[in-house]
Amino acid sequence: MDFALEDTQNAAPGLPSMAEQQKLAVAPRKADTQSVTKRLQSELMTLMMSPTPGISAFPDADGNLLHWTATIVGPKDTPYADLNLKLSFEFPGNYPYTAPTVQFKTPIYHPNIDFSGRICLDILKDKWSAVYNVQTVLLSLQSLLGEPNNASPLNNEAAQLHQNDPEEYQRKVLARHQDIDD
Amino acid sequence: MPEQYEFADSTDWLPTPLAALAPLESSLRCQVCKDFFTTPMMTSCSHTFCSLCIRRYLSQEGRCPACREPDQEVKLRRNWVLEELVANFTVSRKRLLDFARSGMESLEEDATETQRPKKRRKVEQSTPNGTERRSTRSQSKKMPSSTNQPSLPSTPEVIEDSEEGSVYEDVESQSAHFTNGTKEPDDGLVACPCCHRRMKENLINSHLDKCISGNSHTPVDDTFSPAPQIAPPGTIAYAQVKRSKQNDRLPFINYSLLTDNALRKKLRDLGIPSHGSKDLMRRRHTEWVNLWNANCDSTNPVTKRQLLQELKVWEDTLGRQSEKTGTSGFMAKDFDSGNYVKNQKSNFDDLIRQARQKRALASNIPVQIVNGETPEPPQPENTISDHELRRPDLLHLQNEALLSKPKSDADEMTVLPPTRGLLPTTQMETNKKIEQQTYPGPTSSISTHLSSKNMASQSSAGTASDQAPLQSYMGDLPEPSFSAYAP
Repeated sequence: MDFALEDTQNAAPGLPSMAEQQKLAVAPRKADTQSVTKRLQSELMTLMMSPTPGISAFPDADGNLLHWTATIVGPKDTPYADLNLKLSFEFPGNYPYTAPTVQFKTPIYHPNIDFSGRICLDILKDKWSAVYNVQTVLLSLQSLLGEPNNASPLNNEAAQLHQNDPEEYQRKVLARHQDIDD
Repeated sequence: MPEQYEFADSTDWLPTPLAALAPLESSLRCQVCKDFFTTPMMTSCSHTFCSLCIRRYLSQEGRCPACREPDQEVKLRRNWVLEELVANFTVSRKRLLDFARSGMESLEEDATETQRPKKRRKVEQSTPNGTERRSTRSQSKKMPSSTNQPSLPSTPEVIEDSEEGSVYEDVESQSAHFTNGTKEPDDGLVACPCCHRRMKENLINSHLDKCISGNSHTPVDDTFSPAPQIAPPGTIAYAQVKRSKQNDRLPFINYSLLTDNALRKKLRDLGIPSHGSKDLMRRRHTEWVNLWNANCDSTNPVTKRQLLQELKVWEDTLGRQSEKTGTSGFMAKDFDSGNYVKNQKSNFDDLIRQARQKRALASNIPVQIVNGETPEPPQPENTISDHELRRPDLLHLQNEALLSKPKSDADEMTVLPPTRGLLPTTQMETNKKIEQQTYPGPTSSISTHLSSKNMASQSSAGTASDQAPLQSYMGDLPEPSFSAYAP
């Protein structure tokens, strides 16, 4: 296993390799012609035809509608103002009955997000409902940036700094941020 | 925009002068499947979803998707008015859309041209939006016209119509009387409630499907349906009267009370596949009950064979999928870390070997400890990029490598890195003290990388504070298991 050769910059963590992905991509497209694809198409159409400022999402280039990449622009008056934050969406086969798996791809410093981008947000876990969609999830995440839930942190240090030392917090947010390419 | 004909969506209206119809259409669509309501059912909290959508959700969550109020399948009630609204809207949708689009074109050609009065009025209303949109093509221009009109305006329409709904129901009961009166005496022939033609009873259902196909929910179908086929008010509820007797809804069963074989027999009795594990059988039965009951609700029920076909599709996609997922990956609760370490041993060893090689190379350039500053082991920069460090699936491998690396070079280092399992306690303590003072040790060097890669000039105090998040983070990962690699 030679890490120097492996291009992990664009690969989502835990995802299969390209060859595996191509195989996987065929199976769902052939089989579930109905609900998931239809629903995601509809969501994509809505996102494209009536976009919400500061939010965008699009299926990945691998032709599999179950993997999306989304972008959030950090809301104004927060330490994340005007930062471009990329996320990956992975939709389960029984979406929308089960929540999508959402992760930050851009390095982010936040009380409820850990260093590999995993998010602690109730609506992505036990509070998920079938009426939520990509747009509502992205809006919730956008507001989570401004109003972290310090009561249940994934990143203790960030939670403490957010409460006690906003300036240091801001500094760490900017230091951690790094624009990633597509 | 030819692709939009293939995939109908409420946003189809946005580029047309009738953009105001977008919220109306989206309120005629189910929030779960985003398609037009198919057999809309109302929950006891008065939210409406497709029959199959809400049944699937309730069998999984037991509460309303919209407001999380607890609810049960048996409390679901038909929403006739909405079904008729959807039916009538989908019949005219295609033409309305063509009309709106042609209106947009003619607007472009000649804005002053007088056409049919209704259209002109609509065009005038939304002229500013329409023209701006054409010229700039910026999506944000569409925003005000579409999203700033919440679905509120369309809601009153639904409520208005619900008054008519009660009228329809009267019609329905009257006409039910009527059919009963004429049907009974004769030679077993039944009259179609739509066209009043008489036929054998076993033909009536298939005929009925065709006869009221004007009410089909698929918007694609309406393309060729001529206007006169639009069903008169009350037809849907009317047709429903005949049908309700033939299908009985299936009850849910308490799976935990049944043994494997009892459940298997139950599935066989229902005529559905009975192979697989108990969990698979349970999910298959749930899906079947949902499909069956939703079909019972439906105005145009399909045959059992078609339902079995749908169950097969489910089986091929979701049934098997969910059996595989859930237990895989090291994020799973029951992740077998011992086995994983065993299986990946060659990879770990390889990684350690690589790291040692790099280490040997790097040790030609002597590591200097100057004035208590915290030099970091050179390996991380050389071998493992920052991005790789963030990959959770690799991270524990790297922990492994970082932790075990110094072992080989222990004699070269001024300070012994922790070989914790083997050291006597006192030695370990002193070791730790020195570690804190001079050398951050492998653990904190990881955290420095993770949290403050860009703060290269960070002091040792900074690294100490960074240990907290790392520990919480490490909690998620399988134990790097010192024991496996302790010499």
